[in-house]
This record gives sequence, structure tokens and C-alpha cells, in this order.
Amino acid sequence: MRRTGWAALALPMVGAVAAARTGAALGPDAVLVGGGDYRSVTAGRADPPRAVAPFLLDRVPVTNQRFLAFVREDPRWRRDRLSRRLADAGYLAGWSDALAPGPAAPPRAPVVGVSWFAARAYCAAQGGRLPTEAEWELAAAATPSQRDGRQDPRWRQSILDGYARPNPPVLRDVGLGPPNLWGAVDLHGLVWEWVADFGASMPLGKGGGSCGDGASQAQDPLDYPAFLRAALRGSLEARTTTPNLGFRCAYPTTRQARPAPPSTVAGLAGGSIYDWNLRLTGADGRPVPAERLRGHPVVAGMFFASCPSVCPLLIRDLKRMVAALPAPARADLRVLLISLDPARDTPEVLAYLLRSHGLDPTRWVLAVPSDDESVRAFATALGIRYRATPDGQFEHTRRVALLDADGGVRVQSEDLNVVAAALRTPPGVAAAAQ
Amino acid sequence: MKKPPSRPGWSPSTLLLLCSAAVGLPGACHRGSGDSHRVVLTTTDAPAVPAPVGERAPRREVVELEVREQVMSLADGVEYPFWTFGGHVPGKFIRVAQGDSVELHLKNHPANKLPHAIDLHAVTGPGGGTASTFAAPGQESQFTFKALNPGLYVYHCGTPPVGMHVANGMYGMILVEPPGGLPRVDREYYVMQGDFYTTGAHGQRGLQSFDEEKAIAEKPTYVVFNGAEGALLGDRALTARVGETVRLFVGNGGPNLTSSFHLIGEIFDRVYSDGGTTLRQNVQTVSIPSGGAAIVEFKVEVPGTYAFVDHALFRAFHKGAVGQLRVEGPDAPDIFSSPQEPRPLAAGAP
Repeated sequence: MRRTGWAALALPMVGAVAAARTGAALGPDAVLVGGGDYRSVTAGRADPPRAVAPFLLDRVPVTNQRFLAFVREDPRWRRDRLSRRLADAGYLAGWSDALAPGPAAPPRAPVVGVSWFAARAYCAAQGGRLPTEAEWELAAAATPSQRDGRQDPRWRQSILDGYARPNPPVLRDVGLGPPNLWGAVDLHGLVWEWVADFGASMPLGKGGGSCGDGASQAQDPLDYPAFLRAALRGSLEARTTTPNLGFRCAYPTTRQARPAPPSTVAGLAGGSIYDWNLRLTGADGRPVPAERLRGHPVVAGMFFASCPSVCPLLIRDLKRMVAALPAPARADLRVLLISLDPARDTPEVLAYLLRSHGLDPTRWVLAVPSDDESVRAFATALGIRYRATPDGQFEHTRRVALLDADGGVRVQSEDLNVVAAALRTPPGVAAAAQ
Repeated sequence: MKKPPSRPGWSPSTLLLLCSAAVGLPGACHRGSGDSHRVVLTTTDAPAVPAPVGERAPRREVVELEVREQVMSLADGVEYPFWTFGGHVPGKFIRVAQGDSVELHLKNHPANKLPHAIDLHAVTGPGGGTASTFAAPGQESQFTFKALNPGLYVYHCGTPPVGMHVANGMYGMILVEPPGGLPRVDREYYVMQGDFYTTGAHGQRGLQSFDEEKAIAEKPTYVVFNGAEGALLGDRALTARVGETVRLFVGNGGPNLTSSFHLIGEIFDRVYSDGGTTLRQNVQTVSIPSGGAAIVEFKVEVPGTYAFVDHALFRAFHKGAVGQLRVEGPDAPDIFSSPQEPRPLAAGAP
């Protein structure tokens, strides 16, 4: 039987991971989740399933105790020190103090009130990452005895019951729920959990189609729990926190028993996109140095070269906006357009785009990240939602971000007039007005 | 433009109440000192409705709604986790005038678990406001619309799965009064029908949950007025005095059933069908679709207790769709004779 086979495989791996963890500053014990095919509840009927490779996943959500240890280790993530660019005012708001979770946040209860940025940094510090939506959903589809319980009305109902109940004032400890087939606990019934690519859940009714479209195209319109999760992800920004949103980390199956090098963890804490250590390649085939952008106001957006309609219009509208600026502002401004499509947008393609649109390469930076995960990181930081479609295109929101001189996001809007108005206003004035 | 969500500005305080109490204006008060054209509207919980708009020029108004997810009573001994616009089912009643520009703020309380949004049927524009007001727990969103068409309109949550949000109580009504307002009446009430789908059978006590299968099969366990069985019965009945004219703003949140709204022992003198401007007279039963509404008016001539029901009668007697109107005042024997002692049929009758 397949399921006993998977369960048998899971157990020795758990042991191996637990052994590897000994003595290392790693997260809580992890379980092996066997890979498989995954279809998002909001994907179209014609979309092929996505293959998910086996991965390791924290057995339980990250607790207050563990997050406190992280914050002590890296005080930049203390709630009294973290930039508001990286978490809204609800960040760790349930804690009594910056270094004391207190009675409303018991040590073994899941940490909540954590932004995507903070969750991502925590996982990186453990040598892991946030699970993707596909990974999380695949793990969460398992019941105690089945790989996929989503067709079981009673299983769906039990999950729905949890979602429909109001949030308790104090969350219970992790680990008390029944383990699912993979050994993971509390994927349902305790807290929502961040995923790395929450921005792939289009805000239903915003950006991509209406809610009615979502339901009519859905793979399984009966999977209400998945709809609720997709809707929640669609409502989030990377800096959002809520009193019921926590996370757990994922790791490659080849996980090493050592934390990731600090360079991949540190970057974020100041809120500057230039500190991300994510490489961008420019139209000249060379890495784009941050110095080309730092010190200037930067209008940043995302595109893909084979985009038939929206992206050319975005470039056209950006050109018009730049042309309408007063000369000094125009000279100072840089426009950064990052490709969503590393597989096809080669430097040659970027160079062609620069030429064909008549863009000044000193002020217009067209660049492509090294891989899909970097694309997702840039997009999330800029507040841009997207997902790849089966026909090789990308659905994406048309949002544009205005970065200040040190690479912090100052304004995000779908409306270029808003960005243009902000460009005419000194940053200090805008901050005071908000 | 959509402002980035800002938590510091978020406050659960009931600005509306503070505001109207402090200023003492019926229905509204000015917000801040800088912009005298912005008015924060007072909204009401059913069965109350805000004061009539009356004769005035269109203006700019602020409406603040707060989404609360909370366990409340659905029937005697039966608890249910409701999702609400303002802490009650139905949601707050909003009353504006045709031509008003309404700046609607939707606050999703931080203790809530789910994202929510609002689609008002009074809105002209894609999605009815859903996209603009989609907000995560703890976030506030807003959008502005112009009330172009007069009428009584349903609003509801537009977040998927929309049916589930509506089935959990996320609906209410907005009245857009025509120029000059509605004709004056003596009493106005807000009544809204809804169907509920609990995992337990009708009457099963304890905390219930939304039952997806029953909802999809359109087999409710409860059909009620104003969010709970008995919400308008006994000492919570609507009241009027003999000789008064009563106006009911009747809506149907659904999500599934069409209501056959009927007031036993009365005839609706005037009905604005479908909540629009077509006036029909002398109507016995009003059909109100899910997501629809009607304004019914009648003069009460005879004292007594009147039941109003969904005339799909098994809903009334087995699922809760019954309310009461208690009319006090002098008897009117020329219209309706008092009950008399029954007497046996005469012997030898055919």
C-alpha cells in the first residue's frame, strides 16, 4: 500500500533529522513530507498540476519561546527596533515586552503577529525557508491516515469548524493536535501560517478576476478550507501581521546541521531592498551594482518581456510619467524594471527592450533575478502579486513602488499619478502626512 | 488611491456613537474641524433604522463599519459563530440620499480570523466595492461611491467563499432615499431574513458550526428574521399603535432561499417592489429574493398581536421564520369582531 510505504519512509528520516539537529542552533524537529502533484484551488481547470519535491517541514508551528531566542540572537528583529517597513504595528503586539512574551503569549504557544519578512528571516536563521504554497498545501492535505483527505467531507468540515471559530485571547500550546500522515501537527485548527509565495494567491476580486471568476474556474469548488486560505493569503501584504497568523519553516531534504551563512539572513533587517543579497543581472550581462540605484529615488516595477499587453503599457505610462516631471527630479530619478521571467528574459532580451522603447540606460535599469525564488522575494518586497500561468505567461498586479534613497519602499500604488505626486513631495513631508 | 494599510490609525472605538452623542445631531455629525462637508453617519442595529434623510442637498458622508466574528445565540440554547457587519445580524442599517458621495470605511477587527470585504448593491462600479474593501484581520480599507439610484439595497461580504460568508450572517441593508425623502410614516423597522446551515439538527443545543454540505444542498436548519430564532417574538416584538402607519424595510440576506414575506391579518397598503421605485398597492405576500429587498407600508386599524412569516410555512413553524408585531389601542369592532364563544351546530342541520 502506498500510504504505509510513505509512512515507513517518513520515520527513519525524522530520526535522521533529529540526530542531525543535536547541538546545532536549528529549529524544532522536522518531518519529511513526500512530494506529489499539487493544484492550487484557485488555478484554472486546464492548469496542469505542479510537481512538488519531497521536503522537510517543522513538525509544529514556531513558538513564542523559539522566536524569543531568535530575537535575542538578532536584536534587529525586536519589536521596539524593527522598521515599520518590515512589519506593521501589530508585530509581536501580544507580547508583554520586547523580550518577554508574557502571559498572553505562553512559551509553547505559536508565535503570531509576525510579518512575512520576520518569518522569512527566522527560517533563514535556522538554515531553512518558508514553505511554498504548494508545499504547505500538500502537507496540510494529509489526514492522520491518508495523503489527501480533501475529498472527505468530514475532514473538510473539521477544518472549516476551526476557521469559523473566533480567535481565542490566548492560543493553546503547539503539538496537541493529532499528527497527520507525515507526522506534522497543528497545520489546522490553531493558526494561519505564512507561505513563501503568498503573493501567488491573487487577491480574489482585486488584480485578477472577481470572486465569482475564482469560484467558477476553481479545481474543486467544494474545497472551502482551501478557498478560505487563498482568500486570506490574497489579503496579506509582506508587512501585515495578525493575531492569528504564525508560520513554520521548511528545509531541503539534504539539510545540513548548521545555520545558513549570516549574509543570506542579515540583509532584510534594515528594510532596504539593496541589502537583500539577491543578484540582479542587467542588460549588459553583468550584475547590477546597488550604487546605480542607491542615493536616488527609484520607481520600481516588474514585467516580463513576452507580455502581450500590460507590460508594454506600463513602460509607456512610466515614460510619460517621467517626461512630465520637472527637470531636476527627472535627472535624479531611476526606473528599475525587474523581470518575472528569468528563464526567458536574457540580457540580450533586456537590451533589445531598452533599444526598442528608446530608454536611456543610465536612468532605466532593466534587470533579471537569478532564479524564481529571488523573483518572488523582489515581488513580495515591492508588493507585487503574480503567478505563472500554464501558457507561459504571468498574471500580475500592476503595482509600482517608489523607493527612497536608501532602498526602502516609500509608496506602493497601481496608480502612477500617486507615484508621481509622491515624487514631487519630499519624503519627510509625505511621512508626516501619513 | 488606496492608502497603504496603517495600523496606528486603527481604533476599535465607536466613533459614531461618541460623535452623535457629543454633538447631539440626529443622524450625523461633523468629523474634525477642517472639512465641514464630511459627515459621519449614524448607523443602527435592527430593528431600528436611522432618522429619515428628508429634504436636503446631496453631500459627502463617511460610513464606518466594523466586521466582528463572534459567537452569539441562534436559538434557545444554540450558539453559532456569526460573522457580522457591526456585531449583529443583520448588519448596520445605512441611510443616505440619492446623489450622496459615501466614503465607506471597513474595519476588520484584529481578533477576527478571516479577510472580509463589502459588496453593496447600491454601488455602481465593478464588484460593488469588494476589491477596494478587501481587508486582512486588523486592517482598515475604504472606498467612495456615489449613490446614483434610489432604493433599498442589500449589502454583503464579497470574500470567497462568498456563500459561506453570507450564510454566517454577513449582510445588511442600505437605503438610498429619493430627493425629498420618503413619505412620512409613524414607525419604521428593519427586518431581514436569512437561512442558516448548522452541523446539528434544528434545535440541537450547544455550539454549532457552518455545514458546507447542507449549504450547498440548500437545506437550511434555520430560517430566521434578524439573525436569531425569536429575535422579534414576545417582548422583542415590533410595536405600533392603532391608527399608525408602519413601514418595514424588509431584506433577504439568503444566501439561498427566496422569502414569501407575509403579515398574517394585515394587507400591505403599499409595496415598493424589490426595494425599487415601482409602487404596488394592496399586496398580501411579497416575494423577496436572496440579495433583494422590499419596502412595505400599512396602516394598523385593529389591535392585537400579528405574526409575520415566510409563507413557505414549514420554514415558519419548523425553522424559525416568524416574528411579531404587537398593536395596541382601542378595538375596532366595525372592522374586526372580537372572538366569540363557540357554540354547537344547531341540531338537525343538514
